[in-house]
Amino acid sequence: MSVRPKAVSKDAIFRLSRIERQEALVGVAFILPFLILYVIFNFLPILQGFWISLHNWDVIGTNVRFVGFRNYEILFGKDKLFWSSLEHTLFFALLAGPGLIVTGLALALMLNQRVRGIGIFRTIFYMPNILSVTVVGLVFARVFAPGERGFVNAVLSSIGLEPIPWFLDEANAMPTIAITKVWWSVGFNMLIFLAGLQEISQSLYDAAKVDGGGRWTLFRHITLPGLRRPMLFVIVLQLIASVQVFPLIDVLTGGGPAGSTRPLVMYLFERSFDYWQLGYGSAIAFVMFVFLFSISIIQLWFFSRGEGD
Amino acid sequence: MESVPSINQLGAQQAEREKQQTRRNLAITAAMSIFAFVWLIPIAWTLALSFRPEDSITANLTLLLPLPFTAENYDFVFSSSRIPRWFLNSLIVASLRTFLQLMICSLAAYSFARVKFPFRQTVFYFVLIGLMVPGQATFIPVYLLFSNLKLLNSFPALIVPGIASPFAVFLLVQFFKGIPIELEEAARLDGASRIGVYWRIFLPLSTPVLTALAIFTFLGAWNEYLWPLVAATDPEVMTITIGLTNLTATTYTANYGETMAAAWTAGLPIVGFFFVFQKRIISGIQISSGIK
Amino acid sequence: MRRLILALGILVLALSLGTTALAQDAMTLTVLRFFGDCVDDFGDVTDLSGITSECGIITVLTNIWNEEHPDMQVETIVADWPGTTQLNAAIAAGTPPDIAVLHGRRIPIYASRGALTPLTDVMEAVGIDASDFTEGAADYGLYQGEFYGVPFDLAATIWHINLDLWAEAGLVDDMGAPMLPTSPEDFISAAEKVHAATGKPIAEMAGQAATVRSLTAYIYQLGGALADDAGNPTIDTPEALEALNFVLQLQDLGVVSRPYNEINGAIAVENFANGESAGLIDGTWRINGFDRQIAEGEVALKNYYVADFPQLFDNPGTFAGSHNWLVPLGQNADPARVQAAVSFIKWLSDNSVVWARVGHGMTRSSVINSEEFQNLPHRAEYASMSQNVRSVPREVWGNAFWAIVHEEVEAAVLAIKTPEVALADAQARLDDFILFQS
Repeated sequence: MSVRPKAVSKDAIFRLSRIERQEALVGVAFILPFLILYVIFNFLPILQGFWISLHNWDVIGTNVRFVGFRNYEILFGKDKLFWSSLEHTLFFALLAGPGLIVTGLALALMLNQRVRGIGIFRTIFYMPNILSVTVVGLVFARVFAPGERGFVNAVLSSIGLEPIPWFLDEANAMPTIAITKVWWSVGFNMLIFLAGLQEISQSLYDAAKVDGGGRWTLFRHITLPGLRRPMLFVIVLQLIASVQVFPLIDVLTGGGPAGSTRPLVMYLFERSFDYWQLGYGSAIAFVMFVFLFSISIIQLWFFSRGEGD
Repeated sequence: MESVPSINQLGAQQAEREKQQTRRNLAITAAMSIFAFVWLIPIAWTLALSFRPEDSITANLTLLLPLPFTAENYDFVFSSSRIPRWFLNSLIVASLRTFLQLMICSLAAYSFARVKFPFRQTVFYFVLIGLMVPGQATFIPVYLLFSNLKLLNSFPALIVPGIASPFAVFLLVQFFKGIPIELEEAARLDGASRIGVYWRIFLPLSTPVLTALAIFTFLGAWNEYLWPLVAATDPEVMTITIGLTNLTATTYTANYGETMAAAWTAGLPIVGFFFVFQKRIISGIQISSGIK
Repeated sequence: MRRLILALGILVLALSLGTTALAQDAMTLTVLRFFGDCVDDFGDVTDLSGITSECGIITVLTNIWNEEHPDMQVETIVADWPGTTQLNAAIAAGTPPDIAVLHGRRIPIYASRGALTPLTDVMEAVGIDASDFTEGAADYGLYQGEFYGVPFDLAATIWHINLDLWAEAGLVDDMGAPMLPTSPEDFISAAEKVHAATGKPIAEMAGQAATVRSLTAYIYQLGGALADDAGNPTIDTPEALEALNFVLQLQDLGVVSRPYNEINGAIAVENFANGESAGLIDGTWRINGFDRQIAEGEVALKNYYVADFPQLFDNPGTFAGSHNWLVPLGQNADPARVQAAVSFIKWLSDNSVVWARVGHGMTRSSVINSEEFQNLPHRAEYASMSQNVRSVPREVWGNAFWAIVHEEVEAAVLAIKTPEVALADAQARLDDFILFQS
């Protein structure tokens, strides 16, 4: 059984015609520069990470001892913090993901107009994206500061409402982080959707209007299907980025209050660098990877059905 | 088309439509302005803070106006003789990485999207693996690699690891797949080679997405923190993000004024960059829809 | 032509010999430290007068050293606080700096892995008198009886006090000193008086000052321990529970404000400067900042007093961290290099009284008793601090203890967990950490 697929694939290469072989050669030549760099700087470190995850391994490279899958056993067996970090991560993905997609699409639709000064508006909504995470952290720690020292709370109390302990309350903290995330990085999604919208031919809309389609119909039957590819792209990347969230949470709450917003990558980082357990941290990374990879494959499969690729 | 409207009637309709259009545009502009205003408050605040003295910030932080006004924070930032150097370093690192990434990744993406070769889908999934592992988990192996090559504290250390971006390939493959196959076939019939099709059809048609990607990569390189922190500790190759962080980092206080002045100093060129390329996006988009 | 080539050859030879000779003579020591980068302000300065910031002082001290030792130049690499990311990467790559600064509680794990150079003998050879360190301070540099770090300062948690607000509550004596509470009941009644008279909290706290720093100080004051005889961590103890319950009681009574997190800690500092709280429990490192703000007259705070951390139970106990200079060259480092590195550390230690201008406590009796130290502002007010300090146990789990206990105590303070559960969870996580050490 194990021999057959190999034989078939070899056979397949042999059966290529001369033109096909030439084509294949060109294809491989085109990806080769990328692939070499990719293997050296992305893939081998990942393999190395997996190797490290089978060890007790101090972050400074001392006390290295092979332990097989013990790190994984601990991880799945009794590490409550791993599961709670996973929970926080998924919660964040659930809040920020749809927020980023809906807001990004709404902004793109709004900014896809031929109006004077539209470039300025596009620049404004994109602008938060240029800030580094450190600056976003400093600013939003204050925008949502507790008591009446924060911006939002100052506004709330000026209209007679109680101030809200945004980041200091374990129920509010994650949604507040998600709001910050949307403000900070929705600009990129907006750009992608905007580019996608411009690709949809105006003639499709004109034809539909002749057929008497309303705004909603146009949106449902022309805009959304036309945005299929950018949408797939944004959803897949958003999920991956959300699951890997860390620096933003680090500067906003440090994972607090009381660890209630600690995401997986922060946990991985703590284990590897604060506790020196690089082996265990690498195991977390590898589990994350398997999880993300399966979900992404399902997503890609789901979206590419019937695309006739 | 039962009754043909007279020229006069047409003119009146046109005028009415234009009036409607203007009113609609005004409404849109007004709505966008309100949104944009709210959106800008945090940014305006960082700008105001950068022009306020630290002690007045301590007394009243949530003030949107730069009062009392001072330029001392910018004096502080610009007094450093090393800032031009760091700025140049960042520019070199970010530009070279962006350029090389765009070239190498778009070539690979074209191949993944259009050229048939064995195991194409498998290799593509293999590339996607790179997206799924956070950088925090791999920077120690990469660091050890550069250390063994004696290449720490060099531009290659800052530039090369970021070139092969699975993200870029993924993005470009998605967009290349959307380019009508007929365009390519016509060019091929005219005798264009694969590289010719890539260079003369795919790259020009993808200007918007390439620009978006360029901005994204450039920003990522410009704001990158963890990797340059460990890979470039020598002030000769240090990037401005790290250099400015060191300058404004006193261990115990936030130093709002100086930090914000530093952020604007480092960020302003990128805003400019975006402004310039924002126009390119629009013109790029017009090219592609014009062909359709 | 040939003569020219010959001459050139000789010249090149002479030059290369000359430079190698020079290279052999001059030694360059690399120092990896945080405290920031202020070369632009202090790059050429060799005069220490009037400089009170950490970054300024350490930069100028280095400049003076370099001026006086052309054969032993010190090159600074600025690290990101708390200095571990770059240090760990450098050690892993086998290219550690000659000298680094770290918090004392981080030393044991490095020392236990052989990453640090033992210093006791070198210190003696170079002339650092180990017996000059106060007992509490010496501890921060030790691991299993050997010095691996030279304790530079004591960055302690203290009580910043607004005397005007205390006076309003009738809590200032004839000498103009605050009447400091000496028991839990005392503390609560003082807090209630301040609250009744001014409507303001007697002490605001943020981040670790509200959690692990307070808790461990009270545990020590109650006579409890943080490690058992085998050196394993113990946090699920009766003393810890009593200490935690006291911390929670203050919350319930509303006499101290709900603590801010680490990131919003600046708010507590601003509140104190703006006269919106009667006290701030925070580090020594804020003292010179408040003094400067008062001198510039821009803040509501006028009469500023610095007290030791509240001493409320039977035994003295205060939390402090300590910046330590260490030599991360491993156990078999070149003795000449180590000696050179330690001689620079000695120079820093000998001049540590300058460092005290920041507000930090000092580690050497000779410095503490010096006139220059005693004349620094507020020193008499919190003199007992350097006697009361206690280090975290000198075990490999010292730093993990810090993060874990902070998080679990925060859970109790925010009523996410009961105090019993919080302490049990902290103990379980520490036990788990120990498992990885075997």
